[in-house]
Amino acid sequence: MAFYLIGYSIIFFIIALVIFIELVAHRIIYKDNAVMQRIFGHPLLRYSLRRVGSSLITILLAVIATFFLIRAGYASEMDTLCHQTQFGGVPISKLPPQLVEDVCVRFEKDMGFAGSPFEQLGFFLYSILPFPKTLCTTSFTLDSATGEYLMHVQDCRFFIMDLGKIFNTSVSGDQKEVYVIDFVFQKMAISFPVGILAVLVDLGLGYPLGLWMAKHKDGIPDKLGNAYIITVGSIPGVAYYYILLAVFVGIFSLPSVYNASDPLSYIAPVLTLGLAGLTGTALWVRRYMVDEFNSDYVKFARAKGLSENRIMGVHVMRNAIVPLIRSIPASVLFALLGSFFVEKIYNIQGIGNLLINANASKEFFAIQGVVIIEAFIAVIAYLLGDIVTAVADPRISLSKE
Amino acid sequence: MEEAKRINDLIVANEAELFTVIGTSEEEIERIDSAPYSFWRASFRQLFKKPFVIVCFIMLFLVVFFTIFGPMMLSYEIYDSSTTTAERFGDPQIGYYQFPTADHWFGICGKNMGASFEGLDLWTCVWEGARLSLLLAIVVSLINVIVGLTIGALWGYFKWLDPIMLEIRNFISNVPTLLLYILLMNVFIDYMEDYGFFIIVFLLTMFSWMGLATIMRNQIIIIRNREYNIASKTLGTSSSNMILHNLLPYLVSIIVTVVSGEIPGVISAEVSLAFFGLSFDIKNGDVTLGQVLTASTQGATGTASGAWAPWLTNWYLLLAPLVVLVPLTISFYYIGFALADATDPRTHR
Repeated sequence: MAFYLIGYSIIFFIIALVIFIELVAHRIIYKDNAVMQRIFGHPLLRYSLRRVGSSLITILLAVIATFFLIRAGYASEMDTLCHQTQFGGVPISKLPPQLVEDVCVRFEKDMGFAGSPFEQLGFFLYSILPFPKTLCTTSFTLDSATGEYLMHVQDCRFFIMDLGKIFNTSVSGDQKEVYVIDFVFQKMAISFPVGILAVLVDLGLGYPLGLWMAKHKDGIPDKLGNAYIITVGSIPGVAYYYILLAVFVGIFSLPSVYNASDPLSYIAPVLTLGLAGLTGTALWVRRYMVDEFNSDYVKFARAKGLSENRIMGVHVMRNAIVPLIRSIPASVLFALLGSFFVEKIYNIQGIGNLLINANASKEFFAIQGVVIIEAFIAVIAYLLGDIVTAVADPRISLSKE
Repeated sequence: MEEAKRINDLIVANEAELFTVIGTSEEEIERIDSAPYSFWRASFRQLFKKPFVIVCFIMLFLVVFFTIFGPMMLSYEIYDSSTTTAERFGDPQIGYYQFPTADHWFGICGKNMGASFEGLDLWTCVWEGARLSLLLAIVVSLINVIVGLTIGALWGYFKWLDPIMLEIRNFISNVPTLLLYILLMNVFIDYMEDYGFFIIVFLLTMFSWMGLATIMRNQIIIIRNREYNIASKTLGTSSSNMILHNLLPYLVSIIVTVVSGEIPGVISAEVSLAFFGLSFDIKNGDVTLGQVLTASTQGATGTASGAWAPWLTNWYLLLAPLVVLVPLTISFYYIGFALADATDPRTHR
């Protein structure tokens, strides 16, 4: 009960806030209150609201498309899937035969495969739209007294957003019948350390490399940097990852399998991701720096006798950083999702590996869940990128006026 | 004042000596003395000024040459389901891996590559793979470029198309591509044997024209309202003429930049598909570079047991596909990169 109360009050609060902001921004209430106007009528706030609103519609469309794709790909598999599934840790083959058909019908219903496509879509939207609800799935336990597997357990739970369950233990590991929403967050925690360290390598090495290339434009550093950028950009990512793996493991004898408790095993995946990512960063840093070099303010600074380093580090950097800063929130947030290739190559059990395993064993709820969460993260990331840009550059105003 | 007058007199006096009349000639009037300018000739002259471009052309020539004639040089079957692995290895005593020899120039596909590859001649696999990869890259790039250019040009030119296309773009960018491939492949998997090539072409062209179309749209919006276009429109030029003769020629350099990345991009995309097992199946007789690379790097690293990957010791397994893949993509990419520079008229003369 308390769950519903909290859930609905949060939703109510959000709706009230949105209405309030729109009213203030349209100068219907608090017309002359400068403080309220400055806080709630801020163009950035309204812009964010609009952005989130329109993005949610796009997400919804993308999610519905995924829904139909999954139905097209898996509808014929439901029966096989049912027979591979363990309910409450009990393989279906151990259930009495007269129960099996009943179980499979219930299973289809739990998975949202029962009824017409529109009913299925309705149920699907009901489960994923974020408002509080209670959803139940059937499961079975072994009655130890009689030795029979007959006990129906309505496994119910409160949800804000239900993404379904994972039944196959080859995906969920030791955990039996884990909820996708919980599982995805567990996996994110595994993907994140490697991802975020790679982002640090990317930015930490990419910016100095770009600066160095811009400073010695057409010189040897520029040529070397460009050669590296072109090589990494042109050869297939998979080939590049394997070359680096061969270098790290074959030459430097670093561990080839990721282990969260062994710092040495972080080096290879982090550098593999970071060294690939920094090419983009370096390329753009160089380009923006070179563009700024011909500006009047740089000539003026030079004429005043400022040192090259000071012009580069303080004045040019301040301007060149504006277009670059937009991608930083996205790279940090996408670190949560890991990389398909690197996670598979170094056996990191994160989101990337989850998707690959889920596809192999046809655990479509896991796939669907990751798509939805990925879409949400993308929206937040790009919105944050716009906000950060607007904060960093006072010339940008996001209002229409 | 007097000085000036004196000089003037001197000039008038000497005019007959300074100039001689040579008569007139119709031909001479029409002749252009400066060298004739051709955009594409100037572009190619500019292109071949870079020494690495010539290196790239040589690498490309070698790869294409061996792609055509390589498999003929050693007469092995690419995939033969009637023979067993032991038969294919010839001498079972050799073991599971074999470094390059006089009979097998790239060695033999090892045990880690799975039952369908094991024992095949790697030279044949690699060049057959390069053939299919190249064919795929050319077909997919052509489709992407034609569709991307057409849609992009229309999108940029007609204002009413903009909101619709923007919605479509937002939608596409919100669906993770790899996931879409995985899901679509589940639908298509039964038809892979008969229509494999068309399915892969469809997967790789489905959304990838969007990149070129978006860039075209942005560029056309920038130049759409320049004076010369408004003048053209006022004079009643038709839309198709406007797009073909006013807008597209202006964007050649940008188009070349995008198109140049297309072929190596498609080769890479196929490698990624193969990495996830979404590409062709060698059991149907189709092999690509992506499959060879994925198969040859199979082994212990991907599993929890870890240990030492077989391909790290038998390094020829990784080297063989890379020897083809890396020169192929780098040369295409760099030639395109240089061509994009060369087609910018500002670099001519």
